[in-house]
Amino acid sequence: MKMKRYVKFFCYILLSLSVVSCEDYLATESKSTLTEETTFGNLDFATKAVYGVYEQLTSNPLYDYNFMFYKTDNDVEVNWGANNGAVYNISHYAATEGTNYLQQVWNDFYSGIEKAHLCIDNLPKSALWEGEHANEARRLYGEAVTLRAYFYSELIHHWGDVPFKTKSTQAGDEFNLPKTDRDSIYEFLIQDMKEVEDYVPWMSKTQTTERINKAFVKGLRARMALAYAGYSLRNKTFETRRGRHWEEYYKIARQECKEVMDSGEHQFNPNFENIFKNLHTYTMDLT
Amino acid sequence: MKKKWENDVSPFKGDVRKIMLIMRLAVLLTFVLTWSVTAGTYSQNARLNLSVENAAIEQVLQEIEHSSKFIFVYESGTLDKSLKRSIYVKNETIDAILSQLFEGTDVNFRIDDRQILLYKKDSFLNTLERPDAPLVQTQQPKPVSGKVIDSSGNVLPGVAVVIKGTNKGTVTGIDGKYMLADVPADARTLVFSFIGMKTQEVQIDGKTVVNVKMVEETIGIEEVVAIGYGTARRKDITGSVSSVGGTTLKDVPVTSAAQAIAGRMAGVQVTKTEGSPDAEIKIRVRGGGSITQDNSPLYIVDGFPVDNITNVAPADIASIDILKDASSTAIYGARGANGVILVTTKGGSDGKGKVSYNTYFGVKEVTKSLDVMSPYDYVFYQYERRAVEQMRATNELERYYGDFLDFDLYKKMQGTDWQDKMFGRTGTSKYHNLAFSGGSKSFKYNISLTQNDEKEVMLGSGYSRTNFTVKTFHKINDWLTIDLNTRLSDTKVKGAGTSSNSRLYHTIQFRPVDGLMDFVDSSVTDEDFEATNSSIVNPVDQTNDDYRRVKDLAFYFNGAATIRLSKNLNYRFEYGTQYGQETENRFYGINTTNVNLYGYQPIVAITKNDIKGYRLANILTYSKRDFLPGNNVTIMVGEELNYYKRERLIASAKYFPMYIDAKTALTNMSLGTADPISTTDFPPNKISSFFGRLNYDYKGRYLVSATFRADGSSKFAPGNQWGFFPSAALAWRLSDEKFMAETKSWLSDLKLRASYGESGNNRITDDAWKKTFSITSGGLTVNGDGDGAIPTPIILPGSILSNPELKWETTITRNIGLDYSLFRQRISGSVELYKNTTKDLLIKATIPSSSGYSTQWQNIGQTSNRGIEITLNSLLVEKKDFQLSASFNIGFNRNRIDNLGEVGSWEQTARWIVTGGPAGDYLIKEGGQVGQMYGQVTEGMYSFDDFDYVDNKYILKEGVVNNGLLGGSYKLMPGALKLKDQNGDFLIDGKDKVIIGNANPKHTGGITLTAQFRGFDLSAFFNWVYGNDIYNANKLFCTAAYANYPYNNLLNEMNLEDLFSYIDKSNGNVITDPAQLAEMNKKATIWSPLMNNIPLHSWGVEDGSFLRLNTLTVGYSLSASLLSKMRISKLRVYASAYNLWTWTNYSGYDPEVDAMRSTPLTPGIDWCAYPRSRSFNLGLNVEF
Repeated sequence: MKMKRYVKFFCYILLSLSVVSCEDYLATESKSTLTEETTFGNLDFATKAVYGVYEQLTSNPLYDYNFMFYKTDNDVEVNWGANNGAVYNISHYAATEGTNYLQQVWNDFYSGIEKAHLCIDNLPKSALWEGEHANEARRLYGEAVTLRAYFYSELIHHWGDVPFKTKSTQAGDEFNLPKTDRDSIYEFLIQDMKEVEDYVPWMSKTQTTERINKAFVKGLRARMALAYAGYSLRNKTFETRRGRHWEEYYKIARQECKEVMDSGEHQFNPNFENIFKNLHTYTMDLT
Repeated sequence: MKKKWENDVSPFKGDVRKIMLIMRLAVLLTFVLTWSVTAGTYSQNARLNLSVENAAIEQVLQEIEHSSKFIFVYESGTLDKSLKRSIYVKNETIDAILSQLFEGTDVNFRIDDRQILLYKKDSFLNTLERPDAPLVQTQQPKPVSGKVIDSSGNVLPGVAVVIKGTNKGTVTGIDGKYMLADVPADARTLVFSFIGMKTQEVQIDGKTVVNVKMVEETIGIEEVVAIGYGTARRKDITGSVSSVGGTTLKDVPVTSAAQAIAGRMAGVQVTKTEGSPDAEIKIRVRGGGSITQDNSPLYIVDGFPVDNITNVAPADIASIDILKDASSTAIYGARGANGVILVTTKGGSDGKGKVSYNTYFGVKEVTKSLDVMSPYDYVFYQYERRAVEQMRATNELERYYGDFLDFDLYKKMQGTDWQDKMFGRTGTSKYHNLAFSGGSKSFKYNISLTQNDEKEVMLGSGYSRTNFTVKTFHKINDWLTIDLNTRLSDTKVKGAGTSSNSRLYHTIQFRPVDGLMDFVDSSVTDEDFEATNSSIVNPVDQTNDDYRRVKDLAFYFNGAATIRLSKNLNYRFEYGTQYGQETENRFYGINTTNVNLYGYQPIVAITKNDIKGYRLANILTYSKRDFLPGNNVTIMVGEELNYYKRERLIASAKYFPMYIDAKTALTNMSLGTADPISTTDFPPNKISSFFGRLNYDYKGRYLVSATFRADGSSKFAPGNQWGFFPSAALAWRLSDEKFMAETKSWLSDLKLRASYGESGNNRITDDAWKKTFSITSGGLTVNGDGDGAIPTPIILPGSILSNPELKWETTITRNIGLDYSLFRQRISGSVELYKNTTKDLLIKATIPSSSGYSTQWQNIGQTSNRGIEITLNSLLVEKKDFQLSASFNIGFNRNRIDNLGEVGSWEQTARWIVTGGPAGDYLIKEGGQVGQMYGQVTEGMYSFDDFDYVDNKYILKEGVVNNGLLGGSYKLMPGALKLKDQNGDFLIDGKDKVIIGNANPKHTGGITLTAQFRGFDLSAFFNWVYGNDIYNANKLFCTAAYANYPYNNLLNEMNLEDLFSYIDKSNGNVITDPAQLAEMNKKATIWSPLMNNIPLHSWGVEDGSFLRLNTLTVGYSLSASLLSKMRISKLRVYASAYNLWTWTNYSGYDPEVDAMRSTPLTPGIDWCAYPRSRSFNLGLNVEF
């Protein structure tokens, strides 16, 4: 009788211990929350993650509404609204500490950069990179790299030298980054985009203007090269000067533009004046 | 001989071994002692011959009986059946024979004439005095007799009646009667004692008949309380545990056990956040440590953890024990930091089966409504705001409401009382409870069925719940017992309440009069009128179109097997499981504001939640008393696994046909345009634990206990999953010490205890430690945004940076308590001091946004709570016909934010309204408290002395504070709201904010009074909260004329007599002459309501202290004698009232409110909370 009792007892202990000793017991998985592996291991999810980067452009402080009030009051356009304690002040370069739209623009661009970094870091590591969808994966990678470059270029236009990071943020990182000289940023990004140019197809293949195509990448590269090579007001010294290797970059700009023209993939408006005329008569540019 | 015996006392001899112990003894002794009155000579004179060879004792006795008049009376088991004796005697006295027979055995005998009582030497019968022993006395002894009954009037056999100071006594018989033959004249007191009842001492006072009514031991040190993974006697516990018994709770006419405990235990603050039937009931034990996470305590019902106790019927509860300090909660490790609430449901009991039926029927009415402007004041104010603001011309108003000069007609009109239409109906409550319980020593059962049906005071609001509970206890053999417990609850809620979508302000602010439309068949169609008014809609129409049905089915099963491995060692295996399914059906019709963004067409949403959980525990308990003399120890070790998972599905569709009704839409969702269906699989919550406890005491005088628990939780990253939670406590029973001997007469018990321990809080967001992405169907489309557009979901990373280093929030508690009991527990209670520190608080630390994130969860905060709790229970009067008892508890708690890391401080916005509300209305700062309201101070209104009148404009003078940044429709002129400048810059902005209120009370508590007089019983329960402030957002919002709400009504705070007004009543023009304006407004006391942006200022923060007469019950129980004829054992009728009266200075609906609960940082806001009701009930308790 007693023996039977002890046998039973030990059986139970063993049963429960076997569950506990399995360290995996505490590991959890939820099918609704996706990790980096699951998101970038699946083409559909990876595409939607890149869409998430595009979506950053649609935020209210950015291209949805407020961004149009920046960089106005120049020889080309003027905002007629008076200072209103809000975004109009930014138009007139009269922002105060209460105008938090500037902070929002900064936050949104860096948020977009981080989203792009998650794609840039994870796509080459994922199963997609060498599988049957290798081309698609590379196209997504190219889009993310280009978008990152685009965000940084806007940041530089507005603030000059800014903190520069090339990887996604991890928990133990040093978050307080110093400003990086814009020349270094431009050089890195322009080179980066060269590497992904081949990944992104021409519009004739993508059949849409909603996503980045090769012409966009080349065009952005050219633009950034021009900005780098041209004169800009420097933060620390207040000099106005060109990027350090400016001759090279003028060449890059010229070459990129030439390649787009020669490719035959796009038509061009033959008259520069037409751009302004179309804009001010509210007609579409049909070329 | 035998025959005579059989005639006289036939049921007696043969049944000796069959009758229960107590009955046996009772009858035995009654017999023995009553017969002892007659002087015994037969025994002295009788001579016997006996010749028996090697026979069993029983045989010998039978021989003796055969050959004499003697009768042997003894308990079974007294005689050793295997013992054999030989006796050869001739002509011997019985005394000698028996001495020889029982020599060397442990059997004694006592001869009373013909009866011979046999008993074992260590039986208590040994202590009764031999009736033939000589007594030293100075006067004649007298007999005293009487009858003992219990509190229901039933007779009580087996009660020991002893003459105080002696061992002389007796035991009551089956009829409850006793007889003491020789009570010495100098004996003054009789002591009546019985297990489970309060021992009573009664003065003899020369009486010959002393009858006593025994009362159950309910308060006092013999009480057993539930502690983690076991039970203990209250006198032995070393930690801080407060309890409420089921008998106290069963009469409170509320549907939820959580609500029934409000104010009954010191240090436990219970707030029903609003008056709706399914309102969240917030329970906080000793304040709350966390500032960003949930501070709810751990709820355990019969050993199984549950989300909350709202679906436990009060009638099913045997007791609720709340563990407050770490030495009692550390055994729950990672979940014990905010206290543990242990609910024990009723099991069966020994004794014959009992059927009880309880019912009540009640009515409810709303307790208060807010005064709004009268029709005349309303139209005048609407005219004025348009005239002054010039935003909407007054023509539009006059088109609907008539010419200004005719406004006097409105003075005679009665406005529609929308609050009455919404909350004015009489609600009803119906309650039925049927319970069967009973059992024997080896099987006990309790089956209970409860039904609650509530029709609430608000239109369309109702609640019903069915509870079915089965609890059985089965002792299979002497080493195995099985407990099985099943609980099923089915809850249905009807109605959407007032706080979702902020519906309440529509009731307060909807126009009281419709103007011309009431009188003429005008060309103005209803739709035009409504269209200009779409931000505030008819509340009755809106509520009728706001359909909500919730069905919540919850099933719990617990089973446990206890195996007695040896005399001191027990093994217990527990398994429990939980299934729940909650479905919410929601429909928004065309009269609700939710459809405004979706083509004004109805919307349907169905949400389903599926919950699954289980629990496995193995517990080993070793308990030895006197392993060294006086030293007792109990050791418990255990292991547990907990699992909890939820899955959710949301299906919604929009653009239904306009006039469809709710039920048709819900059953034909294809009529609408479907939104993508959202399914969520929440990560399961798993906890794996090891724990142990050691209890040691020396003679009950020095007690030590220590616990330890290791918990691993799936909410943290691998490497940080395990937390360790130790605790230790000491207690010293001062009253047992020799130096306290003189106090024994009045001090029944005094125990000093101290404890220290750690427990954790793992109620944090899931997956905060890892990088996760989630799918959102945002506004993004591909293929343009025209007809071919396809909405596409996108995948986004979390907006808060993950932190794999996250660990538990840990609370360290230190507690010192003194439990006292005076005058044989007539007065008892405790005093406690505690200090809790919660460290490693999870705070969203701000990080530079160049990282791509603006915040990250980090364990950097620390808060502390310190306080005093005092409990006092007293039995003021205890007479035969009248008892009065009172109990009182009070808790003082003060919390402090000790550390917020680098963040230092921040302002938290409650955001009770989407636009136009205050920003940064709570200040979270090191050195401050959680719940400090932050805003400007109200100075009143601007006077004419503050302005110069130049060119028909009011120009603010130098040195007068400028409130102009309020912007919008606020105009800086006399009569406008004026706030106080705090920093001397004459401008009101964020820098002028100061702390204007604190939601934390200084103290809370409750008082209970119970009285019994003959068959009547009365109980009154008061609870209070003192010293807290309430942020009256309703008042701030409903006294401002928002531009977006063109026809809103205002609270009567803004009535025309007190209001500063700008319109000339004779012609409707805006007054431009300052002198005339000043003259007209010389009696004005309240500023103009013209403002769009509402700041939080001190006028909106009010004292929320209150004293509430929470429950009042009067009952009458029919006497036992009357009932026994009907075969009913108990019948009681009663009347009770709940929330009868509240004394408070608060101007809103009710001071017990907490509307913005998504974060613990914004407590005490009254915004659109469902008004409360008071109820009156009539009930019946019957027991068969």
